Amino acid sequence: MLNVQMHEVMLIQKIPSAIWPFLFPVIILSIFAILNLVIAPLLSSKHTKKGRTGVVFFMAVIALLLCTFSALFNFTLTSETLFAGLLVFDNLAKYSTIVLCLGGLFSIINLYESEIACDQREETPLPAEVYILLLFSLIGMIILASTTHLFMMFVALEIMSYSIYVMVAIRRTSKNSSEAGLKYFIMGGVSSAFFLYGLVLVFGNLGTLELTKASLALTLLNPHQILLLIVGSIMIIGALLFKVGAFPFHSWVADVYQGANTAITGFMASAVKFASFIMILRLTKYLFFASTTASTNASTNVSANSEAIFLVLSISALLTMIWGNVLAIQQSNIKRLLAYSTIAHTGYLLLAVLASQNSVRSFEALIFYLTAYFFSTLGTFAVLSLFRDKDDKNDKELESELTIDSLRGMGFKHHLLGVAFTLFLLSFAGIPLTAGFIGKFFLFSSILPKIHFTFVIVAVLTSLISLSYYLKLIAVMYMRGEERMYGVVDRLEYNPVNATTIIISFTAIFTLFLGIFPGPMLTIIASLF
Amino acid sequence: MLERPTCLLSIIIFLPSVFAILSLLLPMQKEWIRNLILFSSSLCSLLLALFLWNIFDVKNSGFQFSEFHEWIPKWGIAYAIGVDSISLLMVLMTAIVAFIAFLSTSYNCHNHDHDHDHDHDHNHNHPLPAIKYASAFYALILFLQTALYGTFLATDLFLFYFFWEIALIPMLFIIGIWGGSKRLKVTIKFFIYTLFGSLFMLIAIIALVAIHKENTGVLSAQYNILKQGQLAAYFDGSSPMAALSSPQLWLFLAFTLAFIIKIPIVPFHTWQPDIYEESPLLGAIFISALLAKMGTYGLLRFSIGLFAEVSNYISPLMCILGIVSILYGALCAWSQISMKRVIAYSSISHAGYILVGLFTLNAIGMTGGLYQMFNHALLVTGMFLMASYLFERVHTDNIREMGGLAKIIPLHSLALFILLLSLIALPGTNSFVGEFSILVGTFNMNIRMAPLLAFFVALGGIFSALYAFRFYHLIMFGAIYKKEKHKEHREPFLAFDLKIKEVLVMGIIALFILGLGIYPDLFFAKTKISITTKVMR
Repeated sequence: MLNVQMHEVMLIQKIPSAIWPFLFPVIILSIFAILNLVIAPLLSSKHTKKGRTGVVFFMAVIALLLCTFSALFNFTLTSETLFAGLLVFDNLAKYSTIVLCLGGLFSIINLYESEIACDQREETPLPAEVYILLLFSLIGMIILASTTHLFMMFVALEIMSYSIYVMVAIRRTSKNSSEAGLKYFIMGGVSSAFFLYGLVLVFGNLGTLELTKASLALTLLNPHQILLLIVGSIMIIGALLFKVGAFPFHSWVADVYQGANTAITGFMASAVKFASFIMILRLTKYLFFASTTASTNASTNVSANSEAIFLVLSISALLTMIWGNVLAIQQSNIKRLLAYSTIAHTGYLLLAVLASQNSVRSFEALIFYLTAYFFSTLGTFAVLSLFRDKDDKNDKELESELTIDSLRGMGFKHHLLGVAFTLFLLSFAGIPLTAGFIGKFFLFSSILPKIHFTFVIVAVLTSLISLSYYLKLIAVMYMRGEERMYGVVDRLEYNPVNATTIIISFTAIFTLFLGIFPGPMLTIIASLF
Repeated sequence: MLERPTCLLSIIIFLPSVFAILSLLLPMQKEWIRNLILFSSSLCSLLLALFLWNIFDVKNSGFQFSEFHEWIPKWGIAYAIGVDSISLLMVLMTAIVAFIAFLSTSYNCHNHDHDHDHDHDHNHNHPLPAIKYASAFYALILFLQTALYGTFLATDLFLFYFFWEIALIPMLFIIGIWGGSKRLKVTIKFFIYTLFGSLFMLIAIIALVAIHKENTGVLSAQYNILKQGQLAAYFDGSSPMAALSSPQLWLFLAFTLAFIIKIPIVPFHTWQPDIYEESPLLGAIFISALLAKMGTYGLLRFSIGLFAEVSNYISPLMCILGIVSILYGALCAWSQISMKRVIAYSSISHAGYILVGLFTLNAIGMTGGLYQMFNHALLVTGMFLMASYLFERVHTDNIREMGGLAKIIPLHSLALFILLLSLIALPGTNSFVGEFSILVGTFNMNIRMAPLLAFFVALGGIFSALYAFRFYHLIMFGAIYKKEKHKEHREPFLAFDLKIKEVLVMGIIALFILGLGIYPDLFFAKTKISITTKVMR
């Protein structure tokens, strides 16, 4: 069976010319990334470190721009499947590519600018390789979002993860960064092993790694074997829960988010989560809850598998919502707080995954929520990347030690920055006028008739809990009054027309627009399935 | 009849927002610009509301001047607004209260610039930001007004919820930035408390639309369409257990919880006195006179309008809840020593009357409840303005530290007297009309214990007289200097009497109080028909 499979894979089909445009984003990114790898050391002898970083950054931006345009162009083309499902260019993949490219573009610009600021403060900026790594991780994400083949998923996941591990740990002199990188790497390695083992079990039972075929094979499976399949599926789920930072595997999130450079944290919180959820979505659709999508009559196999998965996911979702929100309350470090808040959001997203057992509509809600969350997160971390807090011990400014209190008076000192940050927070909290509200509304309305009422009640109550810490941030920015006015924001002197500000305003306007006129976005998302 | 303009309601809703943006753009440090913008905004708003009132067709019981634009067609959500006689009264109320509040406020703001020594007491605007960020403050208030109009005029449940929630955002910042010293804790409590109710309402809206879709195949969040849905089948009142397990009851409770928290009615009132005490004057007026009415309006429009069967079933319970509010609020007001807290608890008491009136479910009681919404809005505006006038003169909010002011500032004492007459619903004042209707309505209720309920409602009247006269007595009569610690504040006690502008403001309110008390139909005639049809359904 393996031979057949490998044969199928290895068979190099003659690629029709219509397919090429779909490959462009990945090809462009790969070429530029490798080119950068070659160029970077060559430059180092002649140019200063700063100039070298600039060249690499410049090329990365060009790559991302080209990539974004080609992804935008691809959106108009009809869907294709390549290499027997190794690469799938359906609407979902096309959409994800656009979003991920935008995310990569915003993050890289944000990263570069915060590093320039670093330079002015006479800190060592990050080495130029970080931009190359970002490109590589983006390649992994794009492939991850456009495959229905389990093995390809594993490879893409590893491409993405390894780049991210290094990006987290890249500031070697910082204790926090090294700790975060090591933690993330070891735990991530274990989760990859889980994924691989689960993959093997699934393959052993179903005889295929191609998800669209797996759903058919599932119905033909001998009922005695179902237990192994369930174990395999749960192991895969476990690895994915690690990647998105859901309940039993969430403990790395806060440390890693705190230790990494703020712009990189933003990239992780948005893009990694987005790509992982697209993968979860595909796995759910074809393998875990296959009964809804495969038109065969639901055999016992299918229902047994999906019930087991449902149980695991529902426990994880409930505890993720509760855990994330409750732990976020007592955080005083902003990045840790936001880390726990992203855990909580993962919980809500998992609810949509759960509800997809009975309705495809909840996938739409998932994508909408994810998109809204994606841009708000990018914006939030872009705002934070402008700040450094002072560390009393060695008088060095450490971005990992940014406390809530350091935002004191920000709303008064920097009006528009404050408004944008408030908007993002309100969007996270799900208050009207923002994309987050429409996302929550869509989520609740799509899950309400489909899964047990308790989930919705827990979601509502936990989002009330979440309000308390989002409001705390808003309160710090605006409501502390003049006594001890201004935290580190006072020292912030940023040029109002730099690229980061443009990113922040773009994401803020996007958040607002999606909150008031969600219609167009809903139409786009409806076309994805 | 005049020609009917097509987008009159949209103009009414968004006009304050236009002025808000204007005020953000213009240099508001100059006081005359600020006054001009505020005054012209409130005047335009008032004129539009009066115009609407004038051309409103009394005989038509449905929604008039309706506007309908697709908003999120995929979910059956539309930008649908319309006005019937209930929302007409609410719009008029908003316009009048905003006009009065803005008329009085420019004076207050001006006074803060050279406000002297009340650093021990932070009940007023926060000194620095109020002046420095005045444009933001007024912009927020104007945005709030837009949200209020939107809430009252929306005929789409989603749109209603949208405006309902948006109203919270300006409130959050108004109290959070310009509030008193305890503002942080209080604001967050208020925000989470009210959102707690609202989120369940959101779930209920989703469920309601889903049920309607299941029954009729029509996906719509429109009030008129949902009203015709077969919700009756979802309620079984044969036994308490059956009632508890019927979906309509839970939908009703989810809606009602949101409204009752917002009003607030007794078990859910704990956020309210703090908020009234901490918020700046304009915020306090808006929240007590208008935001609270969003709740009562919601009860009438949605809780009673959509869930007729449950309302019928549960009305005695709601009346009892209302009576508890009346008595509890009055008793608490009796024992307070802070002016603002007296007003806060008296508001709870009055909200109880409104709740009882609405849930008598007969024409006269509900009409009375509707009158009381309007009356209370005016009354509480007057009370808060009065409290701020007094504060400016005696620099304390503690009524035990005042006394004998009737001799010094007689005009004040007259104005306060008229307000308090309205508060205790003496015949000849507007509140008498409302509360008497509520009383009659309670008597006419179709249940056995109706006379008992009516007795307790009437008892509430006596209680309100108790605290009102204690309030008046402590402030206006008795010895002039009561507390030793206020020796250093003697000078302000040589207070000037009402200023011209204050006389104007209080005159308008007094005119309403007495005018509507003597000839209520002048104003309320237009509201009758809708209530009647609602009950007849």
